[in-house]
Amino acid sequence: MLRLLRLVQVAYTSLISHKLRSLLSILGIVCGVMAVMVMISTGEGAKQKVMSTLAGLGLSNIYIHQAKQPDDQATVLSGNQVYGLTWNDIQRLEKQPFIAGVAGMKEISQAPFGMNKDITAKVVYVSSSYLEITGRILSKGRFLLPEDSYQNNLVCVLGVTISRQLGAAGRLGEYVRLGDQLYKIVGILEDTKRVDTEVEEIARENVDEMVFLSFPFSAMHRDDPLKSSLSADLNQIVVKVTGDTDVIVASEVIDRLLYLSHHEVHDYSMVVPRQLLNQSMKTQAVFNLFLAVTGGISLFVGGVGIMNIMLANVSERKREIGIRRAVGATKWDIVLQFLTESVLLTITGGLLGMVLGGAAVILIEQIAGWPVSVTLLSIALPFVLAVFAGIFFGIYPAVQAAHLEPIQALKSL
Amino acid sequence: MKEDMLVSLDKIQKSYTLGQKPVHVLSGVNLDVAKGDFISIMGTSGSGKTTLLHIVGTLLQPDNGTYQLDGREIGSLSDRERSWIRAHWIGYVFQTFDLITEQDVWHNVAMPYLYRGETKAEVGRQVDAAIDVVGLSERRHHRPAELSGGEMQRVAIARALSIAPKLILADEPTGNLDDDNSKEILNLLRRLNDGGATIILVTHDQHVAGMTNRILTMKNGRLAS
Ligand SMILES: Nc1ncnc2c1ncn2[C@@H]1O[C@H](COP(=O)(O)OP(=O)(O)OP(=O)(O)O)[C@@H](O)[C@H]1O
Ligand SMILES: [Mg+2]
Repeated sequence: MLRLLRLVQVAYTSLISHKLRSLLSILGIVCGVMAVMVMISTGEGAKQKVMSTLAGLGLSNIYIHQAKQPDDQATVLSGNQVYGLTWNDIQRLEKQPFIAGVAGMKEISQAPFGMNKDITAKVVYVSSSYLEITGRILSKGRFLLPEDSYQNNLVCVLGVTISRQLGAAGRLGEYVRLGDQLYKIVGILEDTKRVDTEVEEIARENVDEMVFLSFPFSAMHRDDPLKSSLSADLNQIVVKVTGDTDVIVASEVIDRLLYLSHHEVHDYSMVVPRQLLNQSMKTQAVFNLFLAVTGGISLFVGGVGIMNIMLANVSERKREIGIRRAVGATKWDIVLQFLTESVLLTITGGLLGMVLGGAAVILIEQIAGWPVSVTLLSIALPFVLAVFAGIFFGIYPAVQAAHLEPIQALKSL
Repeated sequence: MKEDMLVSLDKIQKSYTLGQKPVHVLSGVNLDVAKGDFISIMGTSGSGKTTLLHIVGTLLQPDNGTYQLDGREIGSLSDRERSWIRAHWIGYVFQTFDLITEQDVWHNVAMPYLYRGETKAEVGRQVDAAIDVVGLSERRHHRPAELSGGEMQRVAIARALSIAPKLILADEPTGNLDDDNSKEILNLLRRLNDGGATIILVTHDQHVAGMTNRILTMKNGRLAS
């Protein structure tokens, strides 16, 4: 320990007597460490954002959306065919053993909302199973119940943004006007706290700005043959598969099922969060490789800079090496001395790179608004690599120094 | 007889190859130096004095011949073992005051201890004492650049004596100094010899050599009295 301290002290003294040169020689390492740190932090940040976004949608869920109807296809459909998702689809899906639950949703297009014209709400009918299947959380009251539908109860559940915008009129027990009806507020959803719009893009909805109503009993009446053959019943179906089912395989089965029952018309599209996650993990793996290569190159270049300066150091200090050998230093002592110097250089470079990298990460977060995540890995890895580079690129000059004949070293002036 | 000898050289040969041609510098040197002796070696420039001193100081291996230091056969030792001997037994004073310019007096003198693995407290006392002997206590935190030639040479002597070596090798320690400084250095070596140190001194100066117990001369690659 004491020995190490002395080694460091000797190394420090000789480095500090060439301040500018030492500083310049570590620039490469500083940049390398900085680059690796910034890349890991932003990469990790992006990864975590995608993860939480997709996890928020439910990794065992499948979202089926009605596709926009192309104008030219309207004519192709024969009499008893309906374009889009229907209650029949829900019935069909519910029968599948690998499906744990199904929920339907339908947008109500023209619904002047409340007295306040500034509030833009998306008003939808949803199944009572919607809350549980999508894993949304209720902050107050209750969600819609099956009996709300049977009894045609005029009740609604609000997204948190709507509730806030309504102020006092948006509390539990208050009534809101939709069209020419008054609906009693029975529940308010928890804030999903998503500042980004990615979830909405994938699921095509922002729950915070939605108002949920029960399907009117008539709309759900499944036995009514007329009902099901009218316009499309639903805009969206959310499916939750059972715990032991591979959600991606399930999505393929469902796709086949719907395709056949829809008379081979692709009038729907599917979003599988799990699949998106897998894709993003693949992208991440490519990004990680890129990161490793870039970081490796910059640290390599930095290391070569260190090696260069250490070689110059050795040839400049042959005489010192000779003196040290003459007073009893072994070859190993000389190796250690020069290795300590190069490691001290890279540690200094590493620390400097860490500080600057940290500052850069904060700037990126503040100014560019990118998600970042500073983990132990993003701090420790570049540092460890820098120290490793110091050893790796310091060995050759150090061994050269040690192999100088003491006499040869002493004679050079 | 040989048992009392600290240094015992027997038919030491050393040659350098310059281009194709070998230059025989030492061609059979015999030398016995008893413990506590103080001898001087003279000879013309290029006669091989420094080469001989390097061999005695274990910095250079002879091509032929045997060298025993305090009964130990040096030729059979490893580089590591020879380093140990230098750190513990030998104090070197070079022709050009060889100090490390980045370090102050104290650290220059303490340098051999770096390679002996001893604790700080002991080292501190020995180093302080050595600096005191050469009369530079006031200057211990000065860098070599801030010292005169004579003072630098005293620092080099302090470094050599701080480890209480069995053998002190001084290669023209007064070569670059004026008369007063030379005298001072020589008195210092004399005192060390009185204290029991064995000293081999290389010099050009007849007067300096005259102050030692025995004068040997390098000639044609051999030593003669
Ligand atoms: N590494 C070497 N390679 C080739 N020749 C060498 C080498 N070292 C010394 N010599 C030669 O060996 C001879 C003896 O050198 P050495 O330094 O021992 O002389 P010296 O007696 O100490 O001379 P001086 O009084 O000038 O210091 C010289 O001729 C020198 O040129
Ligand atoms: Mg010489």
